[in-house]
Amino acid sequence: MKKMSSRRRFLRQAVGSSLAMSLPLGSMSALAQNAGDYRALVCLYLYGGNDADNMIVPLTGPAHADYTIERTGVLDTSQSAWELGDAHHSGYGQTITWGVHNAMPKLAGLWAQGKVAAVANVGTLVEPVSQDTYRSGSALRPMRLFSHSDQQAQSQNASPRMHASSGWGGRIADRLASYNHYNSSALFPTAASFSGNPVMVAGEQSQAATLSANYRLSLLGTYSTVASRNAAMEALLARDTGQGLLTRANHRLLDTLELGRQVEAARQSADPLAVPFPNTGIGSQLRNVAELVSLSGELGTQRQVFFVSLGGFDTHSGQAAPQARLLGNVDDALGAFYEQLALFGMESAVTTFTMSDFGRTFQVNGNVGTDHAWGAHHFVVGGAVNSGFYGDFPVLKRNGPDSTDQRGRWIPTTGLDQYGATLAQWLGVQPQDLSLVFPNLPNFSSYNLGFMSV
Amino acid sequence: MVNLGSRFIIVAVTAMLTAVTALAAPPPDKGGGGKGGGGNGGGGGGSAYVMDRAEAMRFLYRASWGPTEASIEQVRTIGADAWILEQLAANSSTLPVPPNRDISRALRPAQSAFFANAVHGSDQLRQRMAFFLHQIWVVSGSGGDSIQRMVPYMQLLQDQAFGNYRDLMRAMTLNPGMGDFLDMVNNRSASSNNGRAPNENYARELLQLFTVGPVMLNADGSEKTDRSGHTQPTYTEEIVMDLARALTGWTYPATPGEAETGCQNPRYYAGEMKVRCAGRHDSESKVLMNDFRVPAGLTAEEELEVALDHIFEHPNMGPFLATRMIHHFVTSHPSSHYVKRVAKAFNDNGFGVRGDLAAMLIATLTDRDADTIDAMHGRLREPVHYMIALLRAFQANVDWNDNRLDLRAREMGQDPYEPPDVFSYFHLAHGTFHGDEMNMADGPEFAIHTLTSALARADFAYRLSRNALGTGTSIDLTGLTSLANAGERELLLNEIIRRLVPSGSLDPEDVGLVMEAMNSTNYGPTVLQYAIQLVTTPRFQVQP
Repeated sequence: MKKMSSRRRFLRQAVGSSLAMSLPLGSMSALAQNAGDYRALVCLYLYGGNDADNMIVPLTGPAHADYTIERTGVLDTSQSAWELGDAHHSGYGQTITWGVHNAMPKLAGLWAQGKVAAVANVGTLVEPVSQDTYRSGSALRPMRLFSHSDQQAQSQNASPRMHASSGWGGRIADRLASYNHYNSSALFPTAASFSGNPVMVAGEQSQAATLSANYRLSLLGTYSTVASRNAAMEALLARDTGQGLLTRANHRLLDTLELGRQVEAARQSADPLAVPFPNTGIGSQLRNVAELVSLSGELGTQRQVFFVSLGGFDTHSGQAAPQARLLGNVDDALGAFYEQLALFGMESAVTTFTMSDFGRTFQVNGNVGTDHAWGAHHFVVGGAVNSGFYGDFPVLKRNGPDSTDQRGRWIPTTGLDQYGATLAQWLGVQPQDLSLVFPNLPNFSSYNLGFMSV
Repeated sequence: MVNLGSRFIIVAVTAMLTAVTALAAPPPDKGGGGKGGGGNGGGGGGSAYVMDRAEAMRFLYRASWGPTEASIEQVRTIGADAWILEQLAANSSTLPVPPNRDISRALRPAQSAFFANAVHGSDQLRQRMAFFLHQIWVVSGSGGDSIQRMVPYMQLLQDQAFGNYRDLMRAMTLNPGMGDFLDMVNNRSASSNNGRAPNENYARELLQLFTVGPVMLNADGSEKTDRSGHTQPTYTEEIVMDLARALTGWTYPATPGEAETGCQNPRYYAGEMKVRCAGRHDSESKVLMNDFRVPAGLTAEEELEVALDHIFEHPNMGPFLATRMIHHFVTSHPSSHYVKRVAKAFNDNGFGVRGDLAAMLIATLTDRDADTIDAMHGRLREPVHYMIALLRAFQANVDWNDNRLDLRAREMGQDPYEPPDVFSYFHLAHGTFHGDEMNMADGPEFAIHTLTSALARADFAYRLSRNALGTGTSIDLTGLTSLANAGERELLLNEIIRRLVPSGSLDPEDVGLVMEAMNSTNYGPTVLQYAIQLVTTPRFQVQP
């Protein structure tokens, strides 16, 4: 059987060499000169499939009238929504006023300051699909639509027709590394997750830091002789055991210990965060991101991709209260995050965007919930965002021109690749490299949706 | 409680005896053992034994929660086949009786019992099988009513561990905890509900996760592809909607002592879901997979059986379940022949019975590929397997009533019986690539092996070596500590290695590194701590 190949690259320095381990502080002075050039993307993943039709809701016109037919009396969030503004709706041929869910006042406030874009009906696509080409089967469809695991994977790996073990966040890190310009002396990986081991941050060459919120990175134990244990531990972890799986597991812990030294050293000179973050999972994760942004000078990072998440959006029954609570958690955490970044003067250097498995059926089911669907609306937040509405909202009829079937499952009008490519270009991926990150992007006419300032 | 379908166990046992005869001659590829047979570990394997110590330990890592001196001795004496037969007949360990009222952190008694049963239970194989089946038929205890919901479900998994898969499909489909978790309970026909479509949740996951999977499979578990390399879906969205309609009409069982009124019973989790009002069931006709037509006019009860029979007969079932079973018990990267053989045992246990879980399990554990020694063989121990194997090796005493091992497991990313969603603790196909992507392959368990959970595993060994695993777990380290205090470092290290490593030895360079750390201190407890942590952390993460 084939032997395991070497590790994916973790830090840019020769991984695991004692030389690299002794270097970190020495290389910092050069980095300080670059401290003004920092950008990061933060992917905020809403696991389970957020019902985006109740997050961004029509307040006027025929869109609102259609909305009330399906949702009033069962799941209507339009009555209490915060107004955002107007957007022309091509399907209805007129301007519609849109609002955001009542649980998201901070997002509405940021919108008012011009820091938020809303992108309508985004989804996994191989190529543009119309209702005709969907129903006739003539357009290539993503595999296994409506399945959580597959749509989570595809939204993150941007490869909806095949299995892929790397994600577009990780491939962005690969591309940036290839320019030999960004993060060239970084002491921390380009990509990092505070929510498990998602494919989003796995590169083809680069490897992400996968941490839990409020992480610790050094082994327990405080004996006077603990240094000899630590040395033996690392030597044992680094040895080739001849067993592929064991070696892989061992290298992961080796990465942990190595990263722990870098972060500990960087924290010595860090400013504490001034803003209280909400005591929620997503609040803790975004606080950890904010800390790493603040340590970018010490860690020598100039371009980063972060992944944070919260779950529970799979609202098949009794949707109203849980979705409101979850969106409220997102709003509180996003609000604190933006405020902290603004205090650092970094609010235009960090762009946060939402993703989710898929949208949900516009038709409410018998348990006052919604089922799995496809296209969904997303928010992009940050000082570098060109605020406003992008893309085309669907006609809100369950059996209308934008639905796969009679339950209101939106056929996406904007490809997830287009959404991602817009963000990737802002971060610094060269246009000619975009198809290496998003293999199906050449199937679309527009590579940049315009919601990021250049 | 549901009858276990004892006929299947009897059939399985008969099949087993046939298998035993067939196994009397050692399989050709095990002759001499190569590196694999290499049992020079403690005891030397006298002729009184059927198996050497190394082989017995590897077998017990797969078939139990980890070897103990007693179980090693037993397997060596009677052999793996007889051991499995004994285990198939062993009685279930006890689960707690749920309290009437919900309390905070309510699942804790069930989690405590789970750990204690896994460490101490004599029904080792049943406990392992129940935990495997839990990862297929996921119900999570997170959320309200958790212990009331989870105990009857956990009991079913234990009771039906060696039964027939068709019976398990029925039992799980009608389990109120599952009904609650995936919204089958009180799911109604559109005609009884102002035209609102039935909830699709259970119907979809029944197909995708519990039975056939989303794409057509070959007999060896690989995905079928057409000429242009595309996979073929097992079902369409229309089929999911029709199956959802077929499964409408069910509500909670009656609460004992309370009169039933109306069409929906209040929450109650013991027993099976039931039908209260016939009109809540959609009795129109439906079309399921492969154009299978369910005629109009069936009752909810009739239609349930028709639909489950239809799914159960699907050719994907065997390879779908065989792949997962091998991943869970043996290796993340089985050969296609191995999957095919286990799938065959699902299709027919040798006596014309389809779906016999005991026959499948025997096929999995006794296959000639199960004990392969190869760079990619084995699986990363998932956190609870890692913990419990260590606890058994060090003869821990775990309190059935209350322990806090759940805290330790959670740090490693696995909160037992409280997975984050219906995809279990990790996606079961993660990291099992083939061909060109083999260099990326690791295995499903790596999906939760983050930098921080890798650290938590090392810290678990540290806590264990200090007998500091919290309330309800204690480890008697006096014997090992006295060796350490007496300066018998080599003896101490050899004993730790003997307990954990099937071959009974580590590479001399490894031993040198561990000894160097042990020699850095004269304090016995620290010597012991270094020895345990430096053997377990870098050399005990993978089940061989």
